[in-house]
Amino acid sequence: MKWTVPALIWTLVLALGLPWIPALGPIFDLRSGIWDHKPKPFENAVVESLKKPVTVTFDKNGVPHVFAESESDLYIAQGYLTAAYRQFQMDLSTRAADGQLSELIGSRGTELDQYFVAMGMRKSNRERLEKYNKDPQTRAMMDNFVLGANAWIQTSDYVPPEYKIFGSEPSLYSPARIINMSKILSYNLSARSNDVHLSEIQQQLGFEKTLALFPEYNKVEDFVWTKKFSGRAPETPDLFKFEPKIKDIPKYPMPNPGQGSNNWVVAPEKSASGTSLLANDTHLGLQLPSIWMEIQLSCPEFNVYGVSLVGVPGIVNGFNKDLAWGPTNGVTDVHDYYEVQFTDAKSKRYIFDGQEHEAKIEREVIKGKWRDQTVDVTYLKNGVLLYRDGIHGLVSDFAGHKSDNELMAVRGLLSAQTVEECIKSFEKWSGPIQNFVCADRKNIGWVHAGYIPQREIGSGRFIMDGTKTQKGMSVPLEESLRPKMINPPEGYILSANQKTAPREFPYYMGWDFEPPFRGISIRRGLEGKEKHSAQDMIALQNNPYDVEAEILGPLLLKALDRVSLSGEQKAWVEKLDKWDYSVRAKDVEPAIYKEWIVQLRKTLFADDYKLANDRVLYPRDLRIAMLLENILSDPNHPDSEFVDDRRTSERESLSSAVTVAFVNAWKELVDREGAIEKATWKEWNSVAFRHLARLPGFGSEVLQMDGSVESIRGVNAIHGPVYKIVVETGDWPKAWLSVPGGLTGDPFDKRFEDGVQQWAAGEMREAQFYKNLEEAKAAAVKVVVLSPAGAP
Amino acid sequence: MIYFGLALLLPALWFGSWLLLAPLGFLAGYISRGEGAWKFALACGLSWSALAFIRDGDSGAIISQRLAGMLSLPASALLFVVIGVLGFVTGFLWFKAGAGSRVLLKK
Repeated sequence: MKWTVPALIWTLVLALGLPWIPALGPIFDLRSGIWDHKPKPFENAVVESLKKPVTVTFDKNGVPHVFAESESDLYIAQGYLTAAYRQFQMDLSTRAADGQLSELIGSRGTELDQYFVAMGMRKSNRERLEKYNKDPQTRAMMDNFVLGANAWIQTSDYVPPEYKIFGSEPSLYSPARIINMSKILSYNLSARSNDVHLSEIQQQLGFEKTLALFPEYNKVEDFVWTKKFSGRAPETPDLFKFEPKIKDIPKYPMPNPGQGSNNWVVAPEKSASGTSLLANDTHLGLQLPSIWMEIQLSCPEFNVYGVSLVGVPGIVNGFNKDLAWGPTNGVTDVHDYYEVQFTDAKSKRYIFDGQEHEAKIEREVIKGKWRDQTVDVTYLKNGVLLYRDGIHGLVSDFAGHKSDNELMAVRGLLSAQTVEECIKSFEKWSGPIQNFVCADRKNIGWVHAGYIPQREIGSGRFIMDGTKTQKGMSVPLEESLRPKMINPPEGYILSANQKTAPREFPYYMGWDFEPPFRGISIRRGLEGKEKHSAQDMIALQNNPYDVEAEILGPLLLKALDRVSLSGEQKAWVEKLDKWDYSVRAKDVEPAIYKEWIVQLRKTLFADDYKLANDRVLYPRDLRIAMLLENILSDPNHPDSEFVDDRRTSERESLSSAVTVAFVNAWKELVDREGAIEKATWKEWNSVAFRHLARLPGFGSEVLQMDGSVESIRGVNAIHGPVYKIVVETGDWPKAWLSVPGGLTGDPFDKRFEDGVQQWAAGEMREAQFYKNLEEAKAAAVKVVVLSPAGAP
Repeated sequence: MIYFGLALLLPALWFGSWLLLAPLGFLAGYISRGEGAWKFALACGLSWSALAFIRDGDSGAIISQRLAGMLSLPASALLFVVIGVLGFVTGFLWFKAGAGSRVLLKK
C-alpha cells in the first residue's frame, strides 16, 4: 500500500489536472490527445436548414466571400462558416458577460464570473434577448445564424484543441450567446469608471485638490464636435457635496484605460479622387484569433465587405458599394456608483428618500468545472449592490444594461446608401457608445451613437448619495442635442476617443476621455494638405508621431537637473534633446521618455494619496504637463505642493522630483535590459498578440512595431489597431485593410498567425470586393458549396 | 527489463491509452517481484516521449512549440523530456505498487 496511494494520487492528478495544472495525461495521450488533432479543411457540405445552395469563395488572401440567394440563407452560411473557423472563440467569448467562464476554463474564470453575475449582467442579458426576440427580423437574423453555427457543431467531427487542453466539451450556440457577445463589448468599451477612485482621493485631499488634479478639461484639448455652444458654468467643488463613508472597496475587474481607436472621413472637396474617403482603425485587445473576421456577405438585399464580430450575424464595420462606415469608442461616462444605507444585516432593507425599501434579491448559479457556486444579486432602486461595509453598500448603475436593438442598427447599415441612412440606423443603437463616421460618394457624417444620459454638471463624477432620488443617468439626452454632424465646413470629421462635445456644451459627459493627442495629430495631417489620397490616409494611420512627447518632453528636459547626472546619462539626455518625437521600435529615446513619465507619476503623487486594494489612479499626463508648466513659470504655484514629498522633512523642488524620476527610470531600464542601449521601444512596449484564453505559448512573439498609445498608430502591449481600413468611395469602392490573425482560430494551424507580421510593419492589402458570384469565382483559390438537404 | 518494457509499452501507448501505464506497471512490478523498477520506468518514459515526438512530426512541430510555451518551457524539445518524466514517474509508482501488493498478498 506504501506505493499504491501515491501512484493513485499521481495518476488522478495527471488524469484530471488541478485548478492550476491542466490534465496532462489526456492532453499527451497518443490516440485521443492533442497529437491526434488536425485542422479541419472547410469543404462542401449539406446544411439542412438552407433553402438554396450557398457558395463561399476564398480569395488569394484567404478571405471568405459568401454568396446566398436569400438573406436568411446568408446568415445560416455565416453561422456555419464562423463556427467552422472560430468555434472555440464563439464559445469562450460569449460566456464572460453571462458568468459562464468557469464552466469552460475552471477557476481561471471564477473571479470574472462572480463579478459579472453580481453586477446584474444576466438579468439585463435576458431582458435584451426578450427585446430582440420581439422583433421578427432580429429574431430571424439570430435564429438563422444559430442554425448555421449549430449545424457545424453538431455534424463536424472536428474539436478545437483548446477543449482538450481545458478538458471541456463544446456546447451548442444560441441567440442568448449573440446577446452576450454584444454585452461584453458594451462592458469592455463603456464600463470603465473612476468614480470610486476619485472618491477615495477626495476623502484624502478634499474636493478642490481632487478636481485640480483630475480636471474635466485641460488647457490643451481637441473635440470631435466642432459645433459652437453659448456656454455653461464650470465644475466647482460645491457641485460635489457628498462624502461617502464606505471604506476598503475591493478592486473590481475594470476595462483597461488607453483603449483607443481612430476614424476620420474626408469630404470630396478635400479628396484627390473627388469622392469621399474613410479611414478607421479600431483598437481592441491584441488577441489571437482576432475579435474580427474579415468577410464579404452578399445576398439580393445587400452586398457588403468588412469585418464581422465573431459570433454575431452581419458585418459591424465595413462598406458596401454606396457607403462606408466605422466606429471609435465614445467614452462618455455611463457607469455610476452610489453609496446606500441598509437597515438590516442581510442587505434586504435600505433607506431611500427617507423611507425604508425592500431590495429584490435573485439567486444565480455559476456552474463550475468542479463545483457550482451561488451568487445573490441584490437589486436596489439605483442599481445593483456590489459591496457592503457596515451599514453602507456600494451600488453600481451601468447604462450598458439598457438595450434597444443594436442588431437592427447593424442590419440597417448593410443596405444603407447614404450618410443620412447611416446615421438613422443608429437610432436603434443603445451601446456601447460609439463615434460612427460614414461616407457616401458625396457626403460625410458622424454620430455619437448610444444611450447618452442628460447629466447635470457634478453628476457621476464621484460616488453619489444613494439614499435619495438622483437624476443620474435616468433621463436620455434630448435628441436635438445628440452630437452629430453632416458635411461640416472643415471638409473632414475625425474622432480618436477624445472629448466629444466642446467645453460650452450644457451637459456633463464625463471627464476621463482619452487624451487629445491622436486627435491633434490627425487634425494636423488632414489640415496639412489640400487634397488627400487613399495612400495619404494609410500613411497617416501609420504615423508614429507622439504629440504628448512634443508637449511634455521639452518641459521635462527643462526641469531636469543635468549637473547631477553621469556622463552616459548626459549623453542620452542630449539625444532626447534632439529626438523628433516619433516613436520607433528600434529607438531607445521613446523608452527613456515613457519610463521617465511612469517614474514621475510615482515620484509626484505616491505620497499624496493611496487607494485601497492596490488600485492606482494618477492624473493624466496632460495634467502633469500643466503642472510642470505652471511651476516652471511660477515656483510658488499651488501645484508645487504635489512636488513636495510629504514623507521627507525637506521641501523638494520640481527639478529634484524630475531628476529623481529620470534616475529611477534609467535604473529601471538598465536593470530590465542589462544596458541602456538595449532598452529599445520594442522591448519597453512589448507588443504581442495573446491567445484569447490567455494560454501561454499560443500567441505571437514580441513584435517590432512603431508607435505608442499617444500616436495615431496607437499600440501598447495589449491593445492596438486590430482592424485597419481605408475606403475610397466611387462608382465601385476600393479599400485597403489589415486584420492581424488568420481566418482560422485553430492555434495548431499554420495560418493561425496570418497577417500579424504585415500588420506590425504597417502594411495594408487591397480588399477583393466582388460585384457578384461569377467575379468572385473567377478570382477564387477555393470554392465551397453549402447545399440544402436533398440537393443533388 | 528495458526491452521487455519497450515491447510491452510501445504498442500499448500507440494503440491504447496513457492510462495503460498504470495496470501494465502494476503487472510488471507484480510479476518481476519488484526487480528492475528503474529500467521499467525508463522504458515508460522513453516510449511515451518517443511516440509523442513521432506524432508531433505530423503537425510540423507546431503542437510541441505551442505546448512548450504553455508549460513555460524554453525550448520545444523539452516538452518531450517532460512527457518522458511523466511516463517515468507513472511507470515507477505503479511498478512499485505492483511489487508491494505481491509482498502483501504473500503475507
